[in-house]
Amino acid sequence: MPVIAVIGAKGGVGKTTVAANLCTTLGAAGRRVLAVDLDPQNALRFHLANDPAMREACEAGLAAALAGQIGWTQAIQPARGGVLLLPFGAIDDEHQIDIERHLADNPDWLADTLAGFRLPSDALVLLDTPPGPSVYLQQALRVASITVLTVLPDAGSFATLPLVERMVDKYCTARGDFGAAMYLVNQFDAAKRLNRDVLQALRSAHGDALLSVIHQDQAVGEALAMALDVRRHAPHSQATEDFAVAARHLLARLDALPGTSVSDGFRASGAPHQRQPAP
Amino acid sequence: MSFSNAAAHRPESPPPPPHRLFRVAAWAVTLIALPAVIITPMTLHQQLTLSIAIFIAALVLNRFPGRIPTLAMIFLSVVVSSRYMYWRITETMYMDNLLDLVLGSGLLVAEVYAFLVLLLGYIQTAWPLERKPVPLPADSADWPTVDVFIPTYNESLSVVRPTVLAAQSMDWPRDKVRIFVLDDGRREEFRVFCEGVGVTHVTRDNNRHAKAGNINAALKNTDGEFVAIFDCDHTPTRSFLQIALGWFGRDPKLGMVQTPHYFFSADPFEKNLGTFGTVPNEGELFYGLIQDGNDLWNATFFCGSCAVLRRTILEEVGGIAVETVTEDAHTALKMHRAGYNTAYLALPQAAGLATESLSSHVGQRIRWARGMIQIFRTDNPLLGRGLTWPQRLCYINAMLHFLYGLPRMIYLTAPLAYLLFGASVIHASAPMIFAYALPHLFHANLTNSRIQGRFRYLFWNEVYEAVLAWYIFRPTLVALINPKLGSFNVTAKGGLIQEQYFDTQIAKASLFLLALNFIGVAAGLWRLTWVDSDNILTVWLNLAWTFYNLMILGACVAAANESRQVRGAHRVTLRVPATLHFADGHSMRCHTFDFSSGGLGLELPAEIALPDAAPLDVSLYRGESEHRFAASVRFNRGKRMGIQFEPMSFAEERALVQCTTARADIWAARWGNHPRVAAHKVIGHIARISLVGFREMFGHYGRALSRKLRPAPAGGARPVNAKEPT
Repeated sequence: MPVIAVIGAKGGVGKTTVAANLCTTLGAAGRRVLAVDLDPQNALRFHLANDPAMREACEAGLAAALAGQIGWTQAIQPARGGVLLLPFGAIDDEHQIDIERHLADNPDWLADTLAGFRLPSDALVLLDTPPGPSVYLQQALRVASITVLTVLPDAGSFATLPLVERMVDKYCTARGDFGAAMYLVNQFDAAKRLNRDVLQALRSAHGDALLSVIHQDQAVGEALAMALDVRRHAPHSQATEDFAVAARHLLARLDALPGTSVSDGFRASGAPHQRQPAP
Repeated sequence: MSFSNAAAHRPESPPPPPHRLFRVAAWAVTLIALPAVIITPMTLHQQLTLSIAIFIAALVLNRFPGRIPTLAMIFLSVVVSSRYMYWRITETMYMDNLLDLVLGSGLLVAEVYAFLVLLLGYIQTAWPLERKPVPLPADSADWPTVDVFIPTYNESLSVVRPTVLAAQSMDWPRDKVRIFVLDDGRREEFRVFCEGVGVTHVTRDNNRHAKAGNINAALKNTDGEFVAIFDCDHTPTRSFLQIALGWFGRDPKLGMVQTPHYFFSADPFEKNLGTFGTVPNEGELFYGLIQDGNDLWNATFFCGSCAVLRRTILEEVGGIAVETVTEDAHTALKMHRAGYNTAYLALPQAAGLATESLSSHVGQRIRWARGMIQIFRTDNPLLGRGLTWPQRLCYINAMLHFLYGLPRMIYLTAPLAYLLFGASVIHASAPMIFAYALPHLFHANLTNSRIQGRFRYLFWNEVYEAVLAWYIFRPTLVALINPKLGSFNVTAKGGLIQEQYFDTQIAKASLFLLALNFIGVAAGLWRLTWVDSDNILTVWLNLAWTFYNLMILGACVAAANESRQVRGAHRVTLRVPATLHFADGHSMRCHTFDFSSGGLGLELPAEIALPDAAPLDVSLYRGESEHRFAASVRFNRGKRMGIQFEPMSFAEERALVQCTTARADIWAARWGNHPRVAAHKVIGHIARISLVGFREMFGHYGRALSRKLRPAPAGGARPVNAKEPT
């Protein structure tokens, strides 16, 4: 069960948008995907499940399940494009501090929880995380098979990279089951000189590890406003192509992972068999 | 380590020769047995048995891949053809009247010529060297300095611009490459452009010796160790210099490295016959096979462009040769005579525009033909010092090749001698002719299609030659008689064919031959009735030959039917991904279908409502890099859109050239990679083209006739001759 952690060093780089579109693109490629929102902003649901009928479930989410208020089966909701969504849940500040304390005390909480889901081996788990170092990021990095560090092609984003890179180094690199630390450039505009230069610098620094370059595209924002993924909203747009490239590269990387054979052609859109673990 | 210190040696050669004793024995057997096989007279029955046996052997050999079976097939072909030629000369020339003798000798001359060219061709292409590039020294500080010459005379700036910009993008240390535009037109526009873009604009106060003189004048004012020469419309790739210069480091006596001339637009044959990308074009045989074959014998010659020359050696032979109009081949000949080497790399590293119209194509070939015959007359490679025998033979074949004009016309009319006049040009029975001539033809075609299959399809050679035969016959004859006569003509580039039209001027020779052959068919049918009942087989043989000639001539006529070229700037077919970025921030992935310096034709995945002149950006890609250009909509119909670029900076223009013209990745996929096609399919294809040619021709003359016969339209003040419309 490979885990992809979408991470970012700094807010506003479009990490949640990237995570959501990666989920639907991977789903469209025939993979079973569980999207887990580890960000207390609880924003992934706006991309994947912006349906009034699901509002209640999305407000409970992971936080409620962690507190034992609901079962995990209830917390996980079928969302757009065959993706299953575990939203973070809407909580107040005190509750958030409790959760963070709990996570800090149980470093393997996420690993145990995911293992408890007994997902089929070809299912993918995609984690959305809050920006910068946090206890959520620690949890995510401890289980990640691949990290996707989202970055804008500007100076600020480039400068803050080492902060998160050091964490990836600390929690992932040494692990035997860790695949790759990858980069994804978001909102690229080839008409801007600075964009091209930053991309050039990233290419020369990371080369193969560059997953994809998502172009600046009005369709991305519009898709969110219309509660659609980009692929549905603007199938011919550059952004759709870019996410497809990202998904393709990701799958190739996952196939190369030691011990995880995800390429055995399971193409099912049914829900994974879930069992209720004890939180 | 300096650039040219590495040990010199030739690239991989054929397998080492076998033991000396074995060689002597083989030669002895060959020299004794072969003449016997060639000259032994035989009855029809014996000759048939022998021919069939040898042909079966060739067919069996042809089933095995590799070069040794090819050499064996060449050997069999030479034996069979020699036997035919011997029989032809000794047995079939007993003419009892003058007409037979004159016409018969004409055919014999054509056949001897074809036989010689066949033999020389085998020598030339027996073992293409397939030389690979060698790497340059690791430290670019050791790389030599290069002067890039781009000679131009009357071509428009829009043609030259991409070449200069692409030359600037070549990967070579900036301080070791200098670019010179050699402008024999002395144009202010060019000076301004060169200054703006940062290259040197070179002029001289006269135009003596045209391109050769232009380059020689520039040689005097420059000092780079190597000189790279590009015709002004040959856009080099970034890798050109790194690919082309490696061998100079290996071989200090290497004077020149030539790379292919690749054309990314359709030549007139391809355009008018609709064969672009499906049938190997005229140049592919030469650059794909012949130059590579020459390279084995150290006889590759300079072709005027897409080549690098070593300055010291070039200067030692007196610069670019000025005595003939093919200065390039002559310069290489001088280098070889002086004991220097040349090399060929069969990797397209530059691409240009093909000639626009058939008439300019013919003009170019006339120049080549005249020049080669001039060299033949003034500096004959068979004579003089310094050349090895294979070099002499390769050069002589390159020159003899251009004498095909008369033989080709003889072939196209030979059966008429019998059909029209009852002249018997080959004094032998039809069965004997079958038994000797067919094996000769079958072996030659089988062997050549094995050697040339990827670069030239069977029978196409005859189409290419038949179109040009008459036009190069006269200048080559003149040059043979007096090499100083005849004027120099520049190949026109960047012309615009306003309307589809039938080039009656160029087709005239083909039309004349066609008319003769039609008369021949009529005469043949007449002979089939009661007139010639004793020789029905001979009549059929000549009729079949005439029909074949009609097919070839039909294709020639089709080639003269110029298709229309829609826009002013060259539009070149190119399918690469692109992205449109609209003013409202949306984008659309699409593909280009053609491009020019002015704009792009795009194929969209879905229709989009966008008015003409709407501004947008378009992204093009080259490997990992992306370039975005401002443009506006020219037309937008259905899923097709044409966009026009906004004015660009030089940097943007350079990027555009890198994304479009200077792309070896796209050319290499096409070049020399044609699938082998069976003979009957090739014949079928040519026959279809030929039928279209006839239709166009009759259509053209039908319209012309009806215009002539119909009274002029009302409104003309002139009184109309009263003529009955028919």
